[in-house]
Amino acid sequence: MNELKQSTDSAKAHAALGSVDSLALYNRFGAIAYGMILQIVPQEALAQQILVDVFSSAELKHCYTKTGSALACIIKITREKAFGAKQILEKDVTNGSGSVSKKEVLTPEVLFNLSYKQGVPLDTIASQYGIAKPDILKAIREYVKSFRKL
Amino acid sequence: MNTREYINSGILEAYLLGVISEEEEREVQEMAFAYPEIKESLLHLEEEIEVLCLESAVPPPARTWTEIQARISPTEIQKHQPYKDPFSEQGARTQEPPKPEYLEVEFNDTHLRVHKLWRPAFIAVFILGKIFLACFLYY
Repeated sequence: MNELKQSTDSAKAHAALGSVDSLALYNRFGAIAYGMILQIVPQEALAQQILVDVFSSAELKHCYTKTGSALACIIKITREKAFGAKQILEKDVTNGSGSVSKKEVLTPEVLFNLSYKQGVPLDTIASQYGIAKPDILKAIREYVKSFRKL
Repeated sequence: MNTREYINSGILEAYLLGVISEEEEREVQEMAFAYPEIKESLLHLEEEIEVLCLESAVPPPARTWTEIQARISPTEIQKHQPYKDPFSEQGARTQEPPKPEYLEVEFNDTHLRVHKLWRPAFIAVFILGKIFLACFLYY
């Protein structure tokens, strides 16, 4: 009888498990992703739509299965979708344009903001500001490390 | 470049932040697969990046959870798989689907899924019943 109960319980649980992966990821990383989206696209309705797109996308499951790193997948897919939406919003956006003047001192934080928050490709930053790509990577590392110390 | 130099180059942070090209991403994944030290650094960095990201985290409205749930297709229903380490050799191998522990019986309001050992048990009870009935009638 216990086994019968176990099997029916298992079936019920099985039926309810369809969305466990995505929703579990959403529960853990939803706030991080939403915050990231709002930084890129500061419109709540659109940001929520992007958030739903991210966590219901097949890309997320595929990426997670491939790499096993949920956070890296979520950051990557969230940024892709948010920057995609931003480009549609801003029709006159030129690819890889940064909003930092060349006179500004390129601190690790500025380079981090350019690449991570503004989505400027590393190669573009390197050519635009005359910095070697390894130096940009080191600056990003330095910024993450400085944040760790705070 | 040795592993220590590779770790210190900043490529791992850039990988986790999603700011490098797909080719570079593949390279990082291959390096992590080949060198446990790099894999360990990645796992450690992931925790740090999560803390950094939490600084700008904003709780989303409750209805997005419902929307995501509604969007996930019922055809995707599958048993939850345990965490697979992508950088270990075992994780890289294709996982065979586990053998079912239960006989699949159509599951709706009038059917149940039962353990497969119940089948021989029912057959044995049926045969014994017939034997006892025959014995009872004979004697």
